Amino acid sequence: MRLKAQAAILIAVAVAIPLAGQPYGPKPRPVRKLAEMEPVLARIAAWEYSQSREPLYDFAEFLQGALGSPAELQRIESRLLRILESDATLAGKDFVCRQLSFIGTEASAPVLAGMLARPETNDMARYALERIPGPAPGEALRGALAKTSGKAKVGVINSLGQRGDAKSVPALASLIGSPDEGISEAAVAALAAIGNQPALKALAAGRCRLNGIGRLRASEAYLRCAGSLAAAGNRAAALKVYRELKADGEPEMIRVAALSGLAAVAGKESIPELESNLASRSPKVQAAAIRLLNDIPGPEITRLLAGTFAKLSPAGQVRVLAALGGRGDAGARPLVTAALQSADPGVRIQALAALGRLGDGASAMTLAGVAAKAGGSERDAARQSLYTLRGTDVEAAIVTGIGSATGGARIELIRAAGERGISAAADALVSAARDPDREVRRESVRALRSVAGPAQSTALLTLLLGAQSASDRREVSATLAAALRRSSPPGIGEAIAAYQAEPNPQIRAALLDVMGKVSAGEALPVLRRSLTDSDPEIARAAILALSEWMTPDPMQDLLTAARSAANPAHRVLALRGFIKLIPAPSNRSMSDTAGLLAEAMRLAAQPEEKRAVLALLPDYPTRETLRIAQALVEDGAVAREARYAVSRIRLALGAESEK
Amino acid sequence: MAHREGLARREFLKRTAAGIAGFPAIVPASALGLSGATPPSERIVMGSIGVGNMGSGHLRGLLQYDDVRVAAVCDVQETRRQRAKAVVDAAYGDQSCAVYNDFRELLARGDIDAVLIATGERWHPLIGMEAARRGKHMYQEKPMCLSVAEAKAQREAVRRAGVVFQFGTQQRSSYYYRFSMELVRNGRIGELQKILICSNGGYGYARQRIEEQVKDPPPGFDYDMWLGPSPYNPYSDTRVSGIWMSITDYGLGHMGGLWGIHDLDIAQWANNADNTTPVSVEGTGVFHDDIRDTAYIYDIEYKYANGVVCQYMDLSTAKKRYEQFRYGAMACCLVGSEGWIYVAREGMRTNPPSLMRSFIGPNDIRVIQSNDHKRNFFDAIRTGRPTISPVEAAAHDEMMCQMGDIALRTRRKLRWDPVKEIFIDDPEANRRLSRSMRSPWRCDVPEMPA
Repeated sequence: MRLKAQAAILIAVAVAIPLAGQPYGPKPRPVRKLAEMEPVLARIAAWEYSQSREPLYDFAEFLQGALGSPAELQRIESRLLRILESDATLAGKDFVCRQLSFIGTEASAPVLAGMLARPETNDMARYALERIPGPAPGEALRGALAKTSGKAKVGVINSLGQRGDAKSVPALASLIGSPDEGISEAAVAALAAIGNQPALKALAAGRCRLNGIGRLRASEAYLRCAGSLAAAGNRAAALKVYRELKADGEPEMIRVAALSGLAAVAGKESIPELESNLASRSPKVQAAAIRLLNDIPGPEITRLLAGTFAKLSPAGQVRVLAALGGRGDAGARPLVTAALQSADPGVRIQALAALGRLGDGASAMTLAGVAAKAGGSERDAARQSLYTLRGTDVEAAIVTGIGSATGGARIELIRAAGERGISAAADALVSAARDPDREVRRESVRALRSVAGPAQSTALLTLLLGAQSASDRREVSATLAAALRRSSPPGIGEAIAAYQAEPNPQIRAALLDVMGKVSAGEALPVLRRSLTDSDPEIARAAILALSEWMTPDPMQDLLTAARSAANPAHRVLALRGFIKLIPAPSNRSMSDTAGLLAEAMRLAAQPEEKRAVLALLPDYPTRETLRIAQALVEDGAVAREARYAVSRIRLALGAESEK
Repeated sequence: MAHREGLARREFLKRTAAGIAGFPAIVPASALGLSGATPPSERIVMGSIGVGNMGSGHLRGLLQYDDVRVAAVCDVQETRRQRAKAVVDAAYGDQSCAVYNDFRELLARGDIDAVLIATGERWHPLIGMEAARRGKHMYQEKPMCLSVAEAKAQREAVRRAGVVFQFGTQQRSSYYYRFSMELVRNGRIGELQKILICSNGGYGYARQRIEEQVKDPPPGFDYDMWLGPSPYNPYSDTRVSGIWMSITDYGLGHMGGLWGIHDLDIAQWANNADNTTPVSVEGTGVFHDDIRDTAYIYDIEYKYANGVVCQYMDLSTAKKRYEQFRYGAMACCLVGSEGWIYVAREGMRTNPPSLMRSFIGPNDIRVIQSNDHKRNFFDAIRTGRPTISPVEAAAHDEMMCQMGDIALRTRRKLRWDPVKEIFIDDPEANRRLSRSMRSPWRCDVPEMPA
């Protein structure tokens, strides 16, 4: 894995250690005075979009430097306003307005006000006016209401809303129902944004005069205005609106939003109203009621949801089960368990998921039973819940079940022991690994891979020595290795002794595999000797075992075999092992690693090995690795990988040189 | 399904307004005549808004789900939406996929349950808020938007409507990140102290200056809708290519949509901070100065109220400063009092190495188990359970991006109130928390009671 290469360097770094402590950022520029900027300002005044942005960046940089000086900023603002009053280009004025949005004061308002009436400057003037504090920008915008129309007027209204300009409420109220629907929509949105009592009153009155999409927008605005009042402490006004708009005759999403507001403001007081909507014919309203009730803590809500369950559609039942699962209230367990018998598969699946959150030891047996009998998503849900079920008695129930359950349920419990990492199940699993049933044996061995430790190693070794098939040997050797790795240092002595005493070459090969996976130092001489074993299967197994080694120690052995093994297939396997170990953690220098990669590439005769080397090269960006990759960019079989490696190495070398 | 492009927007909205109420939440679409393992009445009907590079990839992804039906696509470029329609129709073997230039028309359809929003982020909050108002669930690409105010507004709109929101920070649905989070939450690296982020950017991105040639937009390209709420700039081929992500009018470049938000999201997740933000930010940066104007070099330090520090760096800076990132990129290093975790999309490593074999059991603290970001979204639609990347996470991720950018531009340490979500005693910085929109576009002003 490529990450091992990085680990080679990083392993020594216990915590994140900065390489350098020096500041790293832009170099400060000399502070300039406004007078020095006149040439730049002249270019800005004449600037067109297609021209170089240099004067813009130059001025922006100057402005940044002046941010700490109010007096200088005042002078800058005055100078910028002169540009706006001049016949400067629109592009130049746009830039100036953006700067004023950062530093402008009320002094800018009169000039910007003059720009609002012209459609081509309306937007840019608003960019500044929206952000400038104080009453003057609001006055400018209000004044522009009568002088604008169409999109420009919509923009002005939007800006009044963004500013929360309370003084504009009467004017905005008069625009509700305007023949220009865009203006009417903007007005109701602005009133919502202002969010005070007069705005609410205006929306209440205006909403009634509208229909269709206009009324919908006004209702949305009415709700948002109510929300602002609630946030300001006027709960009563907000609740009145919410109760008005949750009525059946209102559009579905208005009712949903009204219920959301009601629940947020009234809290537990809203329970009866939310409950009454559990039976709504609108799935969205019903879903909202379930969601909002579920947000309220307490066992009474669990009881309420459970009590409603039977009356709901399957889609509603799914939501209630999900909610009950999330609440974690075990009081809902009987209902959830009963729902496992639903005729609807979606409900059953959700019940299984909920049982995973609410269940206990007894539930483990239920879930195992369902997992054994069901198929597809239902089986997956049952297994997932069995693997994640929490509680003090769950693991004991699973261990007991491994000994007492039968058939598919027993196998599910065995799997669960492995998935859950129940170390207390190790001995029960060892017993099950001797079961006459092949599937029970196989699943037990697999589960032991997660839970077995040194205490089970002797039993596992015995199992390995008695394994009848190659697949059984593979399974048991992997499990034995996992068990041995859990002791420190790994106790490989028994496996070595067994290897030396064992006549069966297949079992000997399996033991070599264990030694490789465990990577305990005392096994290395055994593996080295086995490389030259007269039995080619043993020699092959030794190469594969050394390739599994977790440190670079056997690299030279593998390199030797890659160069000189008599069997060509062994040479290829050894080379692959050598390549595989290159990224293993070591204190080797990067140039030394580049040398190893060069040697691997020299020995690689097939595209597979070349690709494996190419994949590693970018992790060691040096001139040498670049040369190795470049040499293959014309090699048809690996050219694509070579080009990619070249680009990655070049990028890395470039970054290095920038430092 | 009829081809709807010829219908004037307002006329269309008028016609559909009466039908807003009364549609079922999930597919009343038995008329679609679908077949397969999932009955048509249980399919989630989706619209895909924005089918450019990212959006078309998502679209192909949606077509893989048996329980999802893509009924419509929307893009301001004729060629893109027709190409997307062809992909959808080919997958379903019919001609039913409707195409739209204006997202409002797609969202006005009563039969659409959910949308995938993959436009530029200048559009995200407006589309997202309209989707929420229409009761549509949404899978929304990152970044969330272009300002703190927009993030707050969309968060509120989604909460108010109770629709499902999945943020496109799909790293949360990968094993390495999930395992890393569970290691942190269960104290396997001791107390989390520092989060180092090596994100995108670096000197390489400024080697070539990028300028533009102003011209008329090509036929079939609705440039006014492309610009949307962002300030007017004339069309150029360069502007509408991927470069727009590095122009402040449309994005924050590397610190935002060009990867950075992915890793800030991981930082937030690691610190269990989906519902909050840091309390201070400071840093240094270098900005592009051609058509692009976002930071490509940055070194930003965020501090959380719980003492955790997050250092957010571009590639060049991170490689220079931290050994961990010398050969890795776009990665996070979670540093605890007793070890660290390096995690990237490609894999992870730990110190001590034995952490890699650490077992997270059922009685340990678990995060939401998702291996498929879209499946997690669909499951949330059906069950009402939270998604793995909820709207709160999206809003706070976005706030981190914006805070960092504002700190670089104001060149000072900024203190942040994570409850009010404004800078403390800094009106100049607070001016930058919202953006004006080109008329007629506007953003809701947040109001929701706490």
